[in-house]
Amino acid sequence: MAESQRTAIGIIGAGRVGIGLAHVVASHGHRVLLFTSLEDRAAEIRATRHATQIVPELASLHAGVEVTTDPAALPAACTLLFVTTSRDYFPSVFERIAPELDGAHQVVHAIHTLDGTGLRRVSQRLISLSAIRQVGVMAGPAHVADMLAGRPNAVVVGSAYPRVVAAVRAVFASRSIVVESTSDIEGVEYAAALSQVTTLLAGMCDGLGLGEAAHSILVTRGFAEAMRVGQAFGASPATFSGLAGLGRTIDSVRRIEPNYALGQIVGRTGSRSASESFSDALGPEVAAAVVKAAALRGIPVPMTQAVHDALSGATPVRDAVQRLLEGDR
Amino acid sequence: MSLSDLLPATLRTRSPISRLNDEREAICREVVERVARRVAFESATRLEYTVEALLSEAAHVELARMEERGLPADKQLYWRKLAQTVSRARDEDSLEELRRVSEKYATDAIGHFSQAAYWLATGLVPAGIALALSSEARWSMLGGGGSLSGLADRVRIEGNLEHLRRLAQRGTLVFVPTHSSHMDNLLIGWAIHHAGLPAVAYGAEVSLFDNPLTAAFMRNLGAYRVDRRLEHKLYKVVLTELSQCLIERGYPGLFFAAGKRSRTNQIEQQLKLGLLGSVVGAYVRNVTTGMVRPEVFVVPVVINYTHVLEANTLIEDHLRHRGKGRSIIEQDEFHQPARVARFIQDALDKEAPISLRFCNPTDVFGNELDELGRSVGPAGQVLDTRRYLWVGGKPAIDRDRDRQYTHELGGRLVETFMRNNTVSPLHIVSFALYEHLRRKHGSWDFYALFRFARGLRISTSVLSGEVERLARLLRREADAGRIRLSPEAAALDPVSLLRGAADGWATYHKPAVAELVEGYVQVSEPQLVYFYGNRLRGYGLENELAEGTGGYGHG
Repeated sequence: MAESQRTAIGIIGAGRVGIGLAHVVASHGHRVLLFTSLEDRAAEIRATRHATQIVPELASLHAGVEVTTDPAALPAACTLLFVTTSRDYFPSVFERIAPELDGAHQVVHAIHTLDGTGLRRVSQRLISLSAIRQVGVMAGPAHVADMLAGRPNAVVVGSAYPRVVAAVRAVFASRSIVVESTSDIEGVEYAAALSQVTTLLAGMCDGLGLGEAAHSILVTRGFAEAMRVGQAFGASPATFSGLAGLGRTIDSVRRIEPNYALGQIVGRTGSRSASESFSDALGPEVAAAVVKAAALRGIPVPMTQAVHDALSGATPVRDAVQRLLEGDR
Repeated sequence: MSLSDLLPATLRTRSPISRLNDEREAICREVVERVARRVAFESATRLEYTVEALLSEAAHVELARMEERGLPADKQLYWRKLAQTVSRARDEDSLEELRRVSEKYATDAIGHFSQAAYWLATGLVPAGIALALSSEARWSMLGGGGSLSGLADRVRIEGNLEHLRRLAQRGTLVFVPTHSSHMDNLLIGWAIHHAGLPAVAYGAEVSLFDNPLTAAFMRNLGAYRVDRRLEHKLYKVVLTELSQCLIERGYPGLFFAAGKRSRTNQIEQQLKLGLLGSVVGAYVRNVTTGMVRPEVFVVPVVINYTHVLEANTLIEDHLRHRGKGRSIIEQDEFHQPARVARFIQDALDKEAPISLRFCNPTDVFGNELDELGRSVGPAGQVLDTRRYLWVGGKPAIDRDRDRQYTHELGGRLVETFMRNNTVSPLHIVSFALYEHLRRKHGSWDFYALFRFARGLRISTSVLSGEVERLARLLRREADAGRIRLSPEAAALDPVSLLRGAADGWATYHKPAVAELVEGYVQVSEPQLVYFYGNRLRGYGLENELAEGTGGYGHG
């Protein structure tokens, strides 16, 4: 099929972000194909045009959204695809679609994690699993509820390919959604992943009741540390002060998003078992990867180390966080 | 069976290079046209690419170089006049001048190639070096020509050569080797020939044409002249366009990944994206112009030496210019026949092997190739690579996109180089020794280490411990396919590694880099310990090695 016929927009993953995104893009006048590997979910959305459990605030999914469970459908009909699955589903879902993708496809993801001692980014994994090269990442303080309600939203798209950025802007930008862009895809991916560790730390601090000053100190230092780590892996430090880094950190703390909530519970109760009920919080796995990667490269990461120690049980959370706040004696 | 099947494989592969003489003028004309187009495109957004800026920069660099060489004023006349008039000239005159200068550069660069001379050059003797030496009647230095045949045994050519020979029939091969030594120019030419692959057109430093040891050989290998002292944009644009033009016309190409010899002996981490861009550019253009056989295949080559001929000069240059940009070395060991002879003699006597490893070829997007030359994706699916170029349903040139494709190809090449880097006991023990010194004397800065470590003694038991820990890490890396061990290092037995390294330190370099003396290793040339150890840098081993030392210092 010629690319000129691939005019639909593909969205992989019918979770909260996927459904919300599909609705928004369709309401901008685009034909949207929404892929899920879950037959039940597809059937439910097809029958009722909403997903009450997942996006309760969405009364009716836009008519321009077609749901499919056929992995070949999106590559055949779309040039631009968004990967919105959760980190857990990503490998199995993407592996089904990957063989159908070719060099003309543009794939933008929103999965903010890092992998292994090389702190491999998700866009690198997308490339290694498929034939695509034109990749991008989306991050920022954007939320499905705000988007659906038409409240102001902003995301940053990181891609070294100007056409990918232009394509995202064309389908996504609107009066209420600001789409910023940068060619520093590394920066956006590192900033979005690493800021979750800072958020966790802020949550721990507040859970421990260490006070406002301690909170500010830790967020500031955590931010500086994230920037240092990102820079060591090729990200531009300037990107960290944008939406994916600073923007997301402020937003996550204010909204008590999963990483912050997890940190708060750990801080308050000292219990580590909370991690299991916060599978959306990728801060713990990012922290574990960063601690290893930084040790190999000789990069000091006291903030991340404290988070990791507290979560792994190596150090009681109070000691781990308190230690960060002690001055020279 | 046809008559040609009876010929040895090497004589059957007649390179497209044999057309070069007929096409020279047409190529030069085309390069000039493309330079003009490219300048028009770039200058729209970049001030430094206006005709005026390019010409005035060219004139200043040329003049500076002429003064350096002490050329008389009358030789400088053309450039002096250009420098003075370019800002006042009419646009069409400047453009005409730009074309004239580009044509001069293109004509200077492009070489003559004779198939007969090529066969002679590569076929007469087992190694290209020997040809150069014989032409200078330096046989006696080598104790007679007989031993030269042994050199071929010392140079290992590795890789799936059959695959490459098949690919040569289906597309244009571009070899991208790592670069350690001027010897590379001769070895790679010889190896390509020896492997039955078509002769390549490649840009080699002008000094190799000036050097009587290599001049004849270089010309006949299809090398064109690159004068790296001409550090200005117009010259680079001309060379990139020339490179692209040659690849598009089906001339197999070759360029060294980083442009210059690795000063530190570390595997190249930063590649010259300009020339690599000409490879991507050639494919893109071939497809957009509807060429029948547009394929361009990239062949990474890792040239592994135990000793590097110019080790002393390279590392000294690095220490002098660290962090101060690049420098051009005009005279080094390569220009001293006695040094070259000693290097070869040691390679023959002391089992200091050299290997050229032809790595798995890819398309210009980094995808692997099947035996029919088709690109294959990670799931084994056959890819239509023209899709990479699609804009609105058909292939189109998009410089921003193609620049990024080039960048990614560069990244993949570096990974391939790292994985195919083959380290020997000399490299391994030198790395362990240098890292030990660096940690033990944490208060010495980078330069102090080289001054103060001269003459230091380290007990062999301490060093053995370091080597043993490093060997464990290397075993893991090698098993994971991230680095290769030479046959001499494969067992990773600390005792034989140490013995191998001691031999290596005492071979070729005089005085020895380091020596084993009564239970100690005595360091004589710390900068060479650093140089040889650097072959293991880039794998993150140093921090892991430091972790296990349990104590002494970072300060």
